[in-house]
Amino acid sequence: MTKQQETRLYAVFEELPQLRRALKQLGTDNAEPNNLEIRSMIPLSEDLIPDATELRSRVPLLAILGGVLGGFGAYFLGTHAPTIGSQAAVSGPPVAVFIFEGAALGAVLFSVATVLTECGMPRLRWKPDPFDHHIASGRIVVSVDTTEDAINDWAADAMATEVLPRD
Amino acid sequence: MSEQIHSSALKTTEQTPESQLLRPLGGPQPRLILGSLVTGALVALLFYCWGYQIRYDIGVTGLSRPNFWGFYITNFVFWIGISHAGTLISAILRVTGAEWRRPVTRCAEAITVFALCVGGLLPLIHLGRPWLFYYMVPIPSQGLLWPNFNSPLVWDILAITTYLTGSVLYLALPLLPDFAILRDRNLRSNPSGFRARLYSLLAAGWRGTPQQWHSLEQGIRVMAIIIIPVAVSVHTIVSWDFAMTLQPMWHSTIFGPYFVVGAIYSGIAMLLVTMYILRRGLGLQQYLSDAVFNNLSLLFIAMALIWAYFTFAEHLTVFYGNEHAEMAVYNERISGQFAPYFWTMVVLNIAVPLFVLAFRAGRKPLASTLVGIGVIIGMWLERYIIVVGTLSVPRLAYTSGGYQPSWVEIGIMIGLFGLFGFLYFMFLQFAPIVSIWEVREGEHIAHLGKAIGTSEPMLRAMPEEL
Amino acid sequence: MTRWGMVIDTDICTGCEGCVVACHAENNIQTVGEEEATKGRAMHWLRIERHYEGTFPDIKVRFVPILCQHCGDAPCEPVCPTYATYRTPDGLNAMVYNRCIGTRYCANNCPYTVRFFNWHAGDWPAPLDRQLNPDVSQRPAGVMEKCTFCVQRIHDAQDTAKDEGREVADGEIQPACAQSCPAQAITFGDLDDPDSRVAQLSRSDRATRILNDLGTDPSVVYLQGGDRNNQGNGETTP
Repeated sequence: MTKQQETRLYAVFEELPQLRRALKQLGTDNAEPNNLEIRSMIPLSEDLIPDATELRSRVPLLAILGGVLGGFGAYFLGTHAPTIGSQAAVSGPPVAVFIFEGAALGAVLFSVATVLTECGMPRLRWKPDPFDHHIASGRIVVSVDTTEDAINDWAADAMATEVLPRD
Repeated sequence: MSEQIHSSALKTTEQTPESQLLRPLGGPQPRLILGSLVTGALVALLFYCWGYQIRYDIGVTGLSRPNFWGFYITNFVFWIGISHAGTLISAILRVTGAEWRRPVTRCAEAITVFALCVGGLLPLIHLGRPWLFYYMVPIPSQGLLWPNFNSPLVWDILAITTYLTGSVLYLALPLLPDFAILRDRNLRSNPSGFRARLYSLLAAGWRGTPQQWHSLEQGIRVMAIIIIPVAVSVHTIVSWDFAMTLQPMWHSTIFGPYFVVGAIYSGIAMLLVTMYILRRGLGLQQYLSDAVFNNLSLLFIAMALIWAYFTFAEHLTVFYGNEHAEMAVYNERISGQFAPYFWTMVVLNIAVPLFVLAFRAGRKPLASTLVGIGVIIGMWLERYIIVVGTLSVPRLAYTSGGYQPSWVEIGIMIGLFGLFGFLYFMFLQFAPIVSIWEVREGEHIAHLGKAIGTSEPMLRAMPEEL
Repeated sequence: MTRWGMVIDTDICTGCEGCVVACHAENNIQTVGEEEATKGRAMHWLRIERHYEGTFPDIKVRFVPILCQHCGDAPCEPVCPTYATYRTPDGLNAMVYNRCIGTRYCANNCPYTVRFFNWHAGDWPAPLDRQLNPDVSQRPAGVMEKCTFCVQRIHDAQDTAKDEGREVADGEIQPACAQSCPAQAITFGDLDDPDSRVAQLSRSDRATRILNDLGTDPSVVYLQGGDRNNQGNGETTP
């Protein structure tokens, strides 16, 4: 199977109904399309996306974790202060202030780090794919690994298609 | 099918509005470069004055005893207040699902980030020995001493660091898809150019897959929820620089909420002014439309009313209490040497906004911007009255004294406005000031809401030639 | 435990300002010059406040020397971000020049306005530099300073007493102001020692503390009201 799938097919879709038909067709022809990638300029509604239930993000959970770690970190940072003169090292109410700030900072940093990790970013070297500028113009590009001689009915509605060797 | 392709081909040749957003990013723009140079000169003024002050000691300012704080702290509170513009629009309106915020989020969040950069310089500028600022930062030092976490100034440092980090990341995350758009367009039109390489780097590998979109949207939503309490806490902590002292008319429990409301108020004012300049300068009437100005003006009126309420409550309480030291400050404010500033502030912050914005004609772009300028001045005066008004009337009246800013302080103040403008002009030349993908998403959602038939127009194609 | 304190008798004070000059000389306080003084930057760690009571021809003037009160619960201490001011175990509000980065927050929170900032560094062109007291450090620009109860004299007396294997005697430590007052209106000593002169005077029925209702617990006690039969017509003007 893999030996024969040596190429990658790129298809550009102008309108959503065409995309919907194409993805349905792709699902019928080939229950598990290899390395299917849908790229768009704005987030697509979930009914369009095959396997939308697999979309998962751990951002909220890790934000909470970051908040807890940040809060503890801030607590130890602040109460590490020595007792000087007649002042308490840190009196009660100020502790709440910097625990809050520490928790917020922790939550922010963890959630951004999670987003970047889940998106596979940052990727500093960018290799342009065909039809990238179509995405920037607002169309949707679907790409999938395929065999050279496979019949690609599903891409019949596409505005344009291109086949490239898979790397 | 061929009909649909034909109609989309028609769309590509239309001059779609997004070309307005992309034009400043296509190459050098004379007006933006001129703006950068003028504001850059003001930045040079800022650093000259600051360097002069470091060289010839802080005595070159007009500060004295008892006015140990003056213009620098006034401007510090002012700029941190301005920074609350972005949080209101991009975070609160996002969380509450107000769709009209879409064209405005990025320019508002940019105001937040740059106002924080400018305001964050001021605690350094006002120090007597700024090269030792790191004593306030909790890093191990040779003296084996830790900063005093009881001090509101240390809370300031934590709060502003958190808010600045959060705001920069909150500005950067929604920029990723827009940088990807710019990357793809530049790689097609000029693959070896500087902009292609720049945006390839900035887009950091954004592909626009459903998984990436899902992560990004979750991230933005979580950040919006976090950044709202952070913004509230930041200006509350800045107000506690005053409220945690014993000084008459500073030691007031209302200062926390009062300053937050004042911050949002002045933030909206600065946002109106910025939006108007962008609208006129970059031709963005389609995005920064009359409806947006109208909605923002309605929020503006609400803030004016709340601010007026807090101001009245504060002064009524002081007047009723008739406490000796507080009444000395109060009398100077109402009928003494600070009276001209106080009553100007009341007119600019209460009378003018409520009277003008109550009418629909007053909520049009130019009118609301002029009201916004008045509020910016009025809110600056409010901070000045609070800082210098209390300090110049100390409890032991023998040491009362006046304050007059020197050229160094005025130069730094003007230079800071220039720094803000400079950062903004630089930003305009590298990022779209209206979030392209968010506006498109908003149109898409609006179309879906209206669409009954089979045709689901999604995205209009953007012009190829830019 | 020692608590250094001071009693100032305003009924005796003549307002001669000898204490002010002595304080300047002892503590290397800079003379800021006429221009800076008009801007309100004069550095008088100890100042004499002049309060007029009554109206002509029954005017009475009261002289009140105000200095750092070395508050037991000093409002200047919690607000300093770098611990540059703190309360010593023996009751002084100490100022650590090296640690001060010049935020001036402490001065804003002092209800007595007794803190002074070095807007410029002091300048003692030769031969004036020969009058500097070697026991007291010179402060650079950007640093806060205030009365220290002549801590150098306190430490000197403590060191001498330790060398001689005895306690410090009452009246042995005299800050420059107490030493120079011709009317002997200023007394210094240990408030926690019930037999010291300072403690006895502070128990007088003329004793009061300024702005104590703020909760600052100052270590300086003022004696006033002994001449209440001769107090003008009861009107007070500052």
